[in-house]
Amino acid sequence: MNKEQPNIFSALEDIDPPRRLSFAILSRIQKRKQRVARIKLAFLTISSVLSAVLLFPVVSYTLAGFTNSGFYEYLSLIYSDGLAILPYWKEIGLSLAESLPAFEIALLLSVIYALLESIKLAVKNAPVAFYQFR
Amino acid sequence: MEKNDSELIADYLNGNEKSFEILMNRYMKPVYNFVFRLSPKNVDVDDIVSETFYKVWKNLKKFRADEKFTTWLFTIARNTTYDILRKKRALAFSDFDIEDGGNFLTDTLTDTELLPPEIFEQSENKKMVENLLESIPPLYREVLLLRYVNEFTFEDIGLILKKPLHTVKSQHRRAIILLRKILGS
Repeated sequence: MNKEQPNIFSALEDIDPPRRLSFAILSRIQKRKQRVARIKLAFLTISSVLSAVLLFPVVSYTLAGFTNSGFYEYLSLIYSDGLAILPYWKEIGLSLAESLPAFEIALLLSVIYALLESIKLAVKNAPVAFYQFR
Repeated sequence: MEKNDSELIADYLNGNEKSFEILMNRYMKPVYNFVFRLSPKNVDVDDIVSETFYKVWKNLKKFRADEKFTTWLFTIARNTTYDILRKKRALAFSDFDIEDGGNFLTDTLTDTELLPPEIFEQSENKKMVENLLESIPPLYREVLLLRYVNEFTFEDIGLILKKPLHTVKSQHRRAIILLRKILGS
């Protein structure tokens, strides 16, 4: 404002907010955070358990994929006579790569990722979900 | 060194929980006083202030760095006040009507002097100023509070009230004229 002019509002007295107000607001925010964290934690727990349970059939499925694709046969060639196949390393390498059960591996990695991510987020949310604001 | 508002917001968003508390405590008093004087006496100011800071916290991620935090904060405080007052029916829609209507003459007045010094001396009594504020419509009260108590520029007031600059200025002028009229009588 124009400082040269009288400001009648300077006569107004500043009112002090109640001391408990800041605490009340922070505790309301904390409660909200806690509620969200608890909901997240519930979902993450379910997701961790589901991924852990799912991991067993997916591992079996992936192992079966390796067997069915002939990957082990190509791999055993390397171990049986490594020196003999050395001149054909390109062909063997290509066959190995082709015989990899890509879908099964991707599925397994997805489940492992979901499990680890769920555990990580659950650990992150747990302190907020059970924190007591005083 | 004391951090500015933007730094505190960035800190909070990066996980420093204490930063929001510092920010809130920094503006608790001005916001509380603004809400207190904008609302009728039968309204719980604590509720409105609490809701204001809760909304600030909830929307902190949406705050743009190129904005002025105080402008954003007072916009939320003002809107929250009116929302709650409307819900509680403590504020009639007629409270927003301009008493003297869209007076062309008052809009084009060039006299920007606030109030004559003799009236200022007379009005040093804080109770009187409080009563004076209470007696004018909220539409005028908010402009005067933002301008003279919280010391915002007209441009900032325009942003807070979401009104063009010329409207804010004419609202301010009318408020001054109304104050003079009341004090004169």
